Amino acid sequence: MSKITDEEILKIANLARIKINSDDVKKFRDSIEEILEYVDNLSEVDTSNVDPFFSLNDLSNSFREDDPRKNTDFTINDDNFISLKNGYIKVNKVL
Amino acid sequence: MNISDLRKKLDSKEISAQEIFDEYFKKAEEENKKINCFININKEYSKKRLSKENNSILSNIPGVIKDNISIKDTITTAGSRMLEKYKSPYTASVVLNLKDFMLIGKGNMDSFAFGSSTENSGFGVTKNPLDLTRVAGGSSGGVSAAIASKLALFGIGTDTGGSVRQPASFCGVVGLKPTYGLCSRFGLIAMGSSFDVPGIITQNVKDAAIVLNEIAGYDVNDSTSVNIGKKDYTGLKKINKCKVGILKFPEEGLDKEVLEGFSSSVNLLKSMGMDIVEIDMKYIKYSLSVYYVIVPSEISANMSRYDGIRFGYHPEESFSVLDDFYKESRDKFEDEVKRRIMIGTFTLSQGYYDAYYNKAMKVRNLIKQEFIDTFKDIDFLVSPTTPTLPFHIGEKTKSPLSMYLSDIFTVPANVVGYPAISIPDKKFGDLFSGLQIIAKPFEEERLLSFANMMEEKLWK
Repeated sequence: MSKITDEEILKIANLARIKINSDDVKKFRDSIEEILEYVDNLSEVDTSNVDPFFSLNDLSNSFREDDPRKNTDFTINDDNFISLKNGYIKVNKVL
Repeated sequence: MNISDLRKKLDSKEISAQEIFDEYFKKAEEENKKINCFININKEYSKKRLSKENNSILSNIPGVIKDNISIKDTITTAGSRMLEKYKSPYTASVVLNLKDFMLIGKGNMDSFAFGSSTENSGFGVTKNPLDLTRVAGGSSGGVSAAIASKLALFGIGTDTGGSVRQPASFCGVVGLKPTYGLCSRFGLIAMGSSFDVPGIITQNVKDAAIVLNEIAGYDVNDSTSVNIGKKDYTGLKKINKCKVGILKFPEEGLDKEVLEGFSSSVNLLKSMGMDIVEIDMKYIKYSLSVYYVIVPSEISANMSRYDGIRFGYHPEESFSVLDDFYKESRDKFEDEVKRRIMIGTFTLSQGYYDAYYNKAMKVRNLIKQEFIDTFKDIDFLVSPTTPTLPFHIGEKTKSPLSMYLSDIFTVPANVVGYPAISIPDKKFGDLFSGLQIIAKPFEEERLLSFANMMEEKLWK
């Protein structure tokens, strides 16, 4: 049984806002299928009494004191945006 | 030339910063035409930054930084056309820690660090300086190739599944992946956030120790950064006796050179009087599967910021549907990026979450426990760094899975966050095989001491 269908490829591409044309569907399906088949060996591991992994260093919430501190040295580069106006990012009109 | 030697020459004024600048940029510009190791050469930037004082160990020492690490007001592409013109608004903490080093260039890489050969770069493949028909490895292939070509004395890369150690091995240099949490991720372009660490690539172990000394440390801006206090990593000690685990692995699919190099290193360890234990781990073989479920899942979330508004390419035309605007922008992603986003979207989607993501997280916990138990009895775990010598350009591009398999030895250390280093193991013609050494979390001091000793025995 195939792990993933053409329809599912189109569906997840749409969910991920990725444009995909009909020629590419097969290419992505084949390679994704191959990977999903490979990772299928996880199903042979008995995990019935195992908790999911939480963190590497057994960290819990990382809090800090609410003390004033120096900001990160930060600049807004105009080149990174379509245009900036009064500190706001101007984007194209979407009707 | 190593960092200490150049430091001495600079301090004694035998050589000036300007002379280093002229020499290294000339070489960088020439070599880059051959091997394409830089996405940008930062000559103008470094000219302005030439330091008059030599008050830090890396003052005016040439370094290269992988192009997914932010440096304020310079282009940071992450190897993708998506960020071709993106200028970082701030500098990564690890780069700030390097103080007034001399930035030669930003290293080429697989786009967003998704790959093991730099063939996924939006700016062309980096060629291996040891053999121009072969890949330099990846994703930090540009940095490794630059270090192997002696275009700088140190490089900073990132390692999510072997992206520092694998290219270092392919280029015959040293690659160190520190413990997760030792060096800040602030300013790194995120890939798999629970796996990513900044790493170090140098020509020898001593230089790696010097650089680690500078970049390690707690950072309030990275909530997974761990405060273990300041340590000195440069006092490399002689290790007379320790317990070394030899990882048992199937030999199928491995190059005979890799096996030969590895078995001669095992014999060397025996002759040094080390206590050798063969280690057979039950769950480690699932590391790659765990990795290729969890990392794409984290990727699909991390890549959502490239929408043409917050980050990424801004389409100029107007659209009547917002989704079309997003899709037009995200079409700049290279195929491997699209593939991984799609895998992650799939593994996190309703109906598949338990079968893939949650299952992988449970197995990840088993692997972590297995590492904790294994390292109760041993100090170090050794294996080859990569299953093959550097492969030819184009050899593995048809099947992404075959490319993924080249990280089979490096991925486990990222799955559990342990520190690991790759050093050149044995020379075959112009090429090298690599030896990987894994140590307990936050034991970089011992890891570097041990690696330094092995390097001396193997090469001096």
